[in-house]
Amino acid sequence: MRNLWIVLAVAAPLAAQQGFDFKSLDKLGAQAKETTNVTLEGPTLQLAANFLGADGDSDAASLKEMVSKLKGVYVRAWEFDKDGMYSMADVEPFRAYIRAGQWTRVVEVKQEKEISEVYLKAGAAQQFGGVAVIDAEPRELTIVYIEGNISIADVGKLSGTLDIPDLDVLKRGGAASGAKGGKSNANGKNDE
Amino acid sequence: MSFEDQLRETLRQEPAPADFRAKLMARVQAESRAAALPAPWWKRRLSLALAAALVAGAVIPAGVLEHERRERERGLAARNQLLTALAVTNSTLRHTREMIRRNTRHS
Repeated sequence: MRNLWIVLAVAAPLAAQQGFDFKSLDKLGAQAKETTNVTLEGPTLQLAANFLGADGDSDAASLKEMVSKLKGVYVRAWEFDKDGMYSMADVEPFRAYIRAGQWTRVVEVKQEKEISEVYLKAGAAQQFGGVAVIDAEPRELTIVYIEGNISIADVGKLSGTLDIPDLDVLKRGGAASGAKGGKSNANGKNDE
Repeated sequence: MSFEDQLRETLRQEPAPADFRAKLMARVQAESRAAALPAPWWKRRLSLALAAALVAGAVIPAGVLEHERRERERGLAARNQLLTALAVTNSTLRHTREMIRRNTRHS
């Protein structure tokens, strides 16, 4: 009995630390017209940061500094041909995961059939532990999950003060191959 | 037989066969010829070392270059994914901001 308690005491915090299984959302890609699927974590994320500026990316230094503090970047976005190809129930497991953690919903906007939610994770002083975004439109669904130390200034950078290339520009330049351009995965890590 | 007779019998000189000398000389000459012949080039140490150096010299830089090329490709692919992720985040947060603006205007 004592051993069982020891196992439970060890297993419970480990279970709490388990990240969200983004593969559970991948089924949505089967019905999507376009899918963006990015998973970058650990060494691959830092490798990506090291290559910022390799092609003359503007603001590379600022981006590098921000990314160097991150643990993981997960983006899933789907574009559908018609309304009703997904439901908010599909997103519920992700919401439940966020709610169970130390995340606070800082923005919730609802307009007709559009919903946008922004969550921030509690972190060290003057810093957050991550940012998550759920953006649902009738024919588009986007989930962004960024974990790691991030400041409010970084969130500002992410939302526009940095010269992050536009998706269309990335598509034209071929940088976003597999992203927003078809159903291929664009993982930095092998999910399989 | 006494001990002396046995010893004498044992030490008795016997003449060598008639062709002994010829066989012996032929064998000595054959062995000295073989010893005088140089080893084929692929058995010589210097040749082996040189060949190994040439192979290493050709293979190692090619391997290093290939490894560097693959690492660069992997890095650029990861960077592209990161830029894609940041671009999606950027456009999503802008959309949220736009929704907030619209909501604020309506209220």
